[in-house]
Amino acid sequence: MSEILLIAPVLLPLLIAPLVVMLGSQRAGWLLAVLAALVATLASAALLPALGEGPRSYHFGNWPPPFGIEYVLDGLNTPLLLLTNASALLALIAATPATLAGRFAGREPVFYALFLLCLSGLSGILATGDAFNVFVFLEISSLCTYGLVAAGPRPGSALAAFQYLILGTLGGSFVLLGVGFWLQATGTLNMADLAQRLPQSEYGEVALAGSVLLLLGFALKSASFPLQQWLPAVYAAAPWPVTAFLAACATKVAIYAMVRLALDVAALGEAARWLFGLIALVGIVWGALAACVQRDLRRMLAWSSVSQLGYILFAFSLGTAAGVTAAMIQFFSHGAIKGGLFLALGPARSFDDLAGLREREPWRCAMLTLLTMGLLGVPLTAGFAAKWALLSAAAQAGHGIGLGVVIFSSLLAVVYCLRLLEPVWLRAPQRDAPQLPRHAMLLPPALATLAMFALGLTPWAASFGRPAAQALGWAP
Amino acid sequence: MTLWASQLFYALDGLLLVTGLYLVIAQDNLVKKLLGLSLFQVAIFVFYLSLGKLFPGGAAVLLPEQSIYSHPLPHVLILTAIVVGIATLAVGLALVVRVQEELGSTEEDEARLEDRRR
Amino acid sequence: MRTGSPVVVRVVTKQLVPPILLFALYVQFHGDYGPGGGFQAGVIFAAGIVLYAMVFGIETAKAVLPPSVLLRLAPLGVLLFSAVGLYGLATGYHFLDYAALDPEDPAHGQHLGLLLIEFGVGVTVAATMLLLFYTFTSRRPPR
Repeated sequence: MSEILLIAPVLLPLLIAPLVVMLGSQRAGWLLAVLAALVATLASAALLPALGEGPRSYHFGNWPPPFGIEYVLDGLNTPLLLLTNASALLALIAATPATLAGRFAGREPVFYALFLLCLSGLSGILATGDAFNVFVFLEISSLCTYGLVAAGPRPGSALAAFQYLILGTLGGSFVLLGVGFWLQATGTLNMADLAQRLPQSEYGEVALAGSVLLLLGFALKSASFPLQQWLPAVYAAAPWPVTAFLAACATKVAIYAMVRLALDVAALGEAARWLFGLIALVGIVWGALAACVQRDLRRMLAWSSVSQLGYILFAFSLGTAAGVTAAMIQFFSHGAIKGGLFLALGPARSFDDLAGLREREPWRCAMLTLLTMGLLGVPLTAGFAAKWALLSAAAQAGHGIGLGVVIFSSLLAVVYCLRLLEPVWLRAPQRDAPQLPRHAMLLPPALATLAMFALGLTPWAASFGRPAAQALGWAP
Repeated sequence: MTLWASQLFYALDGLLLVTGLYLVIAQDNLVKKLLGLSLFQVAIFVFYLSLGKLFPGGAAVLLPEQSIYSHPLPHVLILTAIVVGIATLAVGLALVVRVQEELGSTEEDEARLEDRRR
Repeated sequence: MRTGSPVVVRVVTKQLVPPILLFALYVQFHGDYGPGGGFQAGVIFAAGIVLYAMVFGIETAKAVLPPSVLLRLAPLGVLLFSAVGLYGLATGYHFLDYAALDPEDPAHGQHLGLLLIEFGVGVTVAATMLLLFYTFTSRRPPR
């Protein structure tokens, strides 16, 4: 039974997706999609208690690794599996057929199928222990993302999706080429096997070139500086539940892949960590500065994501157990906060759309305010816990520049967070302000807000630090 | 001889790769960009296939008269990657159709201007 | 709908389409003994129908294989593939362990499993290719 749990989070959405298309009913499609995400979330939550027992693996078709494909769930990817599935669940609850109204002309089931396949692809990247499988799942999730982004309400959505397709496919192709180099250098695709053979390969340069190509591909997909330009355009173009889902977990999965492949499998060590630290710190400042000057609401939050994702990469670049703990907290904290913010904003896309929200929709206003507080890092919220863990980890490692950069970007965060709150609280409602949807739309951001406080008040996310550091070999 | 041939082969394949990449970057037409992207991917497929080739070896089919086979794994991997490439091309072309319908052009700068204007 | 294809083209196409479809089936079911398999067979099958559509018109082809049927067939192939995998799980084997299909003779189970999943792949590929063809060719600019 417990063996099935290892593959359920990936397989369930993959198997339900064709069923959704088959049934062809939008109501049933939505229900099935929510149900699949719910069960996948519960399955990945059920994997957590045994986290301390070390990695568990599932052999597909009963072929032993390194010949067959195996899934390996350890302390680093199991918590992220939960994050991915939970954010998909919340986004799917929000994406009712009524929310999508009119965008698809009867093709809503395809939207839900794409959503589920995207989820399955992201979970697959996390779970698989096979380098080529990473490429396949990356492309599954990417292809679905292009379709989902193109479903956005703006006339330019298709163009944004196309530009993302070009960049994303280049990134994916670099990953494919990198895997090819690794295959040439070692003759294997299994990650555990690669980790043993890469350092002692007689074709060291080939292996290194492969690692660089892989890093390049995933740096693109994770919107790491300086390859972040696609992110604001995509977040602005996509339908809002999709933006919430992508913001909560998609780029984080790519960061996971970067860390797993560079620091664990290829064991590039010092050099890769130095590079991670550099692009993370520049990205943190660059993203925060860009967020301050955006005129579009969603683009501002997207640039803030670039900055916040930099925190995760910086935390990993410290190379200590405390750093990994900070990264795990930031994974969950940013997932809950940014995902929740996009869910609470709903279809609002400009600052004017938020004018007078305090009077129009007090509940939504309250959640937006609380989530923005979290983004700021106000005590009691997950944002504070994440920043505190990151600052103490940086101090522990004696990384003075990092300490300064994180504090400076937190000050910049005050600027863009106030820009978000100003129309909500201070401006009078405009007469023709768009009516934001209600009812079911309140539940997902409310859950995200609750999660944010739960993460801030309990050491739950921090408890993943140790198993994750063990998985990377940075803790006994 | 074989080393020289394989070096030449890699050089030509690299040329194909950067030609595709150049088209993606330099072309303004969305369809031409997609063609460049396909060329880029094909270069990677060819690279993979070259990995499995052994010079005296034949196809990886059990035959009594041969004992050395080309490595079949890269072929299987590339079959998957080709399917991914076709799917990408199809999605890309579908998006170009939508761009043409909604923004009235398949030239990237014109479509972008139209997008800004709205 | 009658198109303006010359009579020679129409007669030759009528002769060609059945062998193409038959060859697709050969590639499909011979896949585990020789070169072939679901991907190739699906594409060859779709190519046969595409040829038919190009000569006799899209509408004629749609009467033979309507898009609504294809939209059901494409996921059906995936479901067949996953059903084989799930059968292994249900009988206490691993996912996609084809030995589950014939516990007495695992080698025979492997053959049977491959045949079934390749058939699923073939159905999905053929249906998806034709759907792509229909979607692109039937698209008319709005307004």
